[in-house]
Amino acid sequence: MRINLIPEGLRPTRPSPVPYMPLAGLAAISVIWLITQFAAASQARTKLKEYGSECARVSKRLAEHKELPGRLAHAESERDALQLKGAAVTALTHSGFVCSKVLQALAETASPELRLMAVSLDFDQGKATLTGYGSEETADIEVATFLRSLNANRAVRDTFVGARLDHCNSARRNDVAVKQFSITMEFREGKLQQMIRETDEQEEQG
Amino acid sequence: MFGRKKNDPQVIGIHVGRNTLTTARVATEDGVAHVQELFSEPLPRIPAGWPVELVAEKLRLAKRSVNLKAEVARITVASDLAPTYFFVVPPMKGEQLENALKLQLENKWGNAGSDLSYHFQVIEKRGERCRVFAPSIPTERLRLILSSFLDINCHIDSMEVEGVSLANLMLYCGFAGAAPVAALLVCPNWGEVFILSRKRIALSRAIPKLETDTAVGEDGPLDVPEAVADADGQGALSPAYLGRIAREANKTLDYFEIELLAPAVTSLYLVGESAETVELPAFLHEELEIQVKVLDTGEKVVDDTGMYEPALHGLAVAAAIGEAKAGED
Repeated sequence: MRINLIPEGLRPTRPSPVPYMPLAGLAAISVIWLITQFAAASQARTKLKEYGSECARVSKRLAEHKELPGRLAHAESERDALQLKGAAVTALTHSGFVCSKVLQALAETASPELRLMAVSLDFDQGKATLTGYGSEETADIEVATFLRSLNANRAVRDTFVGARLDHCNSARRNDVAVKQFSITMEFREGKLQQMIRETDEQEEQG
Repeated sequence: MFGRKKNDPQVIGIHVGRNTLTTARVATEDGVAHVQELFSEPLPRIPAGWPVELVAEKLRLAKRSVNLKAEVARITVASDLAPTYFFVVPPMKGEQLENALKLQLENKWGNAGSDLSYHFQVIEKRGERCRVFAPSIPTERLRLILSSFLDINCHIDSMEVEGVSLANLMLYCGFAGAAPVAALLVCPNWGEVFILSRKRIALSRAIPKLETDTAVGEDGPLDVPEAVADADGQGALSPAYLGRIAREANKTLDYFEIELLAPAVTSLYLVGESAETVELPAFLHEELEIQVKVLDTGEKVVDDTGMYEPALHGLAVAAAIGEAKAGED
């Protein structure tokens, strides 16, 4: 037998899952959408990272390309300097440098009180440096005179712009007190190249 | 979905007796009911009364022992809360029958001023008359009972009466078939005879304890045992009351057999607090001249709690089992 004294209106309404199904579906769709978005974002981040590194690599190469003209110009100037040096070395070692006239002029201009030690040539700077020494007591005057004589000498003036005293300092040489000096002379523009060219011509003729 | 529907749902069965509150959690597997959790407490109350605070206290206790959340919760109530009336009416149908029964019930309740919740079932048609079984309860009382359970978050799905629960239990256990059987609910202050015929409740009669039941009745002395108590010393029945129960039961059986022209009842099953009274079966057998047994649900109800007594807790289990399916008898 089945009876129920509880009228329909008083029977408990147990929560039915049906009203929650759309919500559950919506929640499931939201979760799936979020997961998809997260995966897509992750993928996009990875690609962005790749593009970033690619961009950095290209930028580096572009910068290298941009530097090329400057480097080329530098290399060309280095090449010219090297060619000049090579020519000078060749001139000095093979055919007797025409600047012997200059050296002779220097030697003749120097007073007997002064000892000339060396003449060095700086092809890059286009300079010649003359070093020597004199007595502790008279060297100052002698050097000044020598400097004036150099600037007055014709052969020197043809070759150099002028002579300039770098220093004249006290020093000891074989336990003797002396004064060492250094005089720099700047070649006239194109003079050095001319001298080298003349040397080459002499060599060809010889 | 969401774990609400199961193949073998667990059901809460609640029996509100005249003096007891019994709660059982029952799971049915392969046609066998398993009593998984059980709680039984005295619930002293006046007839037709619902002591809200006392019930709330007992239900709180019940909640500690029995998980009251289940797919289904059913309650069976004693006849003082929801009495059953049998009416004889001319052959009627539908709304006409319903209106006639409603009128009859309102007359019985004496226009108590409250709506009635009732159910009716035609149990027999014979010639120009129909016998109708109609349990009813005032809706106000029904609401009060339901609210007590709702307070502990227990949703009651259906409410039936003891007679129907007994019919279902006896059908489930195979005691009730086409032949009529009787069940006697015996408590210290209440008795009720139910006669089940053709798998339905055919007749019931309440035998409340009266003040005069403290002495031997006027109908003449019966050979009543002097000290009648159950094995635990509880549920004691006074000899005078026991004598009256026997006489009234006898009258009911005679009425069923003679007035309703039914076959004689051959067996009587005892249930209730006093059913286990030691000398009761023998006494009733002698008085009624039928086979008398204390209800034993046997293998159809398996006790997992170690507390289950069929005669005492059977009605709560019956409420949980509900309508016995065809073929289970």
